[in-house]
Amino acid sequence: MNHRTAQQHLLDWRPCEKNSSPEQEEALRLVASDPLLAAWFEAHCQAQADIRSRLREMRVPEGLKTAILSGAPSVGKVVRPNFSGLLALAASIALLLGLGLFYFGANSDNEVKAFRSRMVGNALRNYRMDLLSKDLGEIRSYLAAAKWPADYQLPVNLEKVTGWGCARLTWQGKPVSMICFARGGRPDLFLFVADQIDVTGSAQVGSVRVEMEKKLSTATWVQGGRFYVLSVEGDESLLRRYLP
Amino acid sequence: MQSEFEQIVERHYAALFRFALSLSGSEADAGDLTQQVFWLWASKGDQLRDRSKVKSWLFTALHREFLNAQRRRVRFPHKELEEADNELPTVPSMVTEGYNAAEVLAALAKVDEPYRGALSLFYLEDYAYHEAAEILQVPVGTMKSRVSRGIAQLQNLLKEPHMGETGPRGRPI
Repeated sequence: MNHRTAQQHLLDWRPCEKNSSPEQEEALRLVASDPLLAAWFEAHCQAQADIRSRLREMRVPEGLKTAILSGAPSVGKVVRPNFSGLLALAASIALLLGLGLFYFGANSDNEVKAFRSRMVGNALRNYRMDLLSKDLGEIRSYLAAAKWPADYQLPVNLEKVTGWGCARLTWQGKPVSMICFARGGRPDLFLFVADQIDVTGSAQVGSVRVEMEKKLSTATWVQGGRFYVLSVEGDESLLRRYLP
Repeated sequence: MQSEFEQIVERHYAALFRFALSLSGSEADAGDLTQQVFWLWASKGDQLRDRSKVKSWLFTALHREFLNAQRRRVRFPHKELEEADNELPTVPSMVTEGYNAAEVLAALAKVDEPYRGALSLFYLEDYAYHEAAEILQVPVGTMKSRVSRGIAQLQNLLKEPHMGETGPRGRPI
């Protein structure tokens, strides 16, 4: 084994690994007798430790845990009522019903927000179009053939904007169509369409609701069993031109 | 009283987020991936009989979700690692001084898949090779090759000047 092959065998060596390969054992023996290799090995181990510690400094966003817990489908929770008197039981049921309604409402709203946030995030990041086309009819046909939401109803003014393409996204395993429009030379209007039943709480959205989401003016609405999110790079007045 | 789901989220979400961040290089993508994988767990986790394997189930699912998303975006060159082994560059000492966490992360995000996943597990979670190989669903030898190759790529990326001003694949703009 020469100097270079020893280096290659030691590249993935870790002090915590119990089972070194025979080649690594041989390379380690060479380290003991070769000062140049030993110096390289020491620097290499230090660099690995530095990288490891720096990556562990990565900050976890506040609110991620809450978002996970609110975005997940409901999972079984054991509730053990511990009351003896009927009155106490009745009062507890009433309280639980009240809290349940409150919790359901808040949770549903959280899921709508999480959906909107995820979709707008898709528009802001580098995404890949599944189909590049200016033809809105072709985009619709492509999505229909892929069995993605394609029976969407475009607001009148949006129908007049040139298409750019579309992408097939998912939300909790369910299909979401992303249709991109370009008013200038690049896509700047993004419409997301999902089945209303796939986004818990979307039914309560009803008529158009406009909010800022990650620097994009964003509107949500429900129509014909579909849940729509429309985002535009611009202010609310621009967005309102393209709403139903 | 916390449900089992809440306990699992509490225990693993931070490690999963870091793994996702090291894969995607984007905080927003990492958050989405982490949420998605817990949604999968809530939907399908009851199929896992051996509850001691929850963590590796979550890591495997996250890596798979990342690759699925990645395949939709780019077609990365996939070279057989055994072939690539002969092409490993000469190995100078890796320079890490002067780089902060964000810069190391940015460099890691430029390492080609499939090396990146192996390298992330190598650095972040200190899984033994056989455990990491199980998560990535590859043989141990392949896992080790990926780590070696990944380290070689990473050190080349860290050698490049002006990490903060690089274009695709780490080349200066």
